[in-house]
Amino acid sequence: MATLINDRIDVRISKEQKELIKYASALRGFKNVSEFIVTFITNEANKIVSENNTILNTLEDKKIFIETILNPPLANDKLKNAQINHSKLVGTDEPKIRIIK
Amino acid sequence: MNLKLELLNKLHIKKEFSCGKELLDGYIRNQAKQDDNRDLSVCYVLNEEESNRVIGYYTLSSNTINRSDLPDDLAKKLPPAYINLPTILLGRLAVDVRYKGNGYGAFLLTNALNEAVELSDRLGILAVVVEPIDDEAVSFYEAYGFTLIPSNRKMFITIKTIKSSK
Repeated sequence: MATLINDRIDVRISKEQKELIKYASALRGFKNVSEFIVTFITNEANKIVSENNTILNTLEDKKIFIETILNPPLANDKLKNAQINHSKLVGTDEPKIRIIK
Repeated sequence: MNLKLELLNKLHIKKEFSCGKELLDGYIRNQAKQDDNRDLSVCYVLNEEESNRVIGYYTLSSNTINRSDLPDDLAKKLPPAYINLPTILLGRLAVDVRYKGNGYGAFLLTNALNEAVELSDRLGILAVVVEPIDDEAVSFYEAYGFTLIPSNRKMFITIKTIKSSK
């Protein structure tokens, strides 16, 4: 699918960085630096978004999650108090906060 | 001042919403309605009864962890019926700075968790996952008993834990 090219990004960069990027781009055989930058930055951006959408990445993440699901802790006092306050705000005859479902 | 909590609608005044975090201000002002229209997430809005001015909001969407993403030794600990691990994502939660100090953050969090519990009666859900935007947000959720997922600083609380708070 052809992508419509109709926007641009201006980036401030040092002369040395620009030379390096141009050189790397040429080494990989890109037609121009724009194409090189767009290709690599798009890949990197996709990776970041995908990692962000994944909840459990490492083995440690997975262990913590499974252990907690299998042995769920009881709610702490702060959460219990928050429940009491929530009930007070919505539950009375003249609630301070009206819940509309 | 009387308030109401309801799903985002056209009457809500959201252009002036300011919680001090640009990402969260921009979301309610420009993005929330679009995500809602696309059925990607639902936005609950705390707002003033008369003026419809937005005081705070949170968003919910569904999220799944696949059993196949788990290493065998961990997957074995789960009953075989757990093919996927369904969760609810509490993607964003924010309160306007001009209304800070009234406990509205705690109110919105509690309301979101209770909403998740209610949903879990009709649809399997194991936990609520949050994406804290900074250290302050991590401390906020930690205080209510959320567990940190180290690699990406997301956090979660199980439905069973929430149920034990009522």
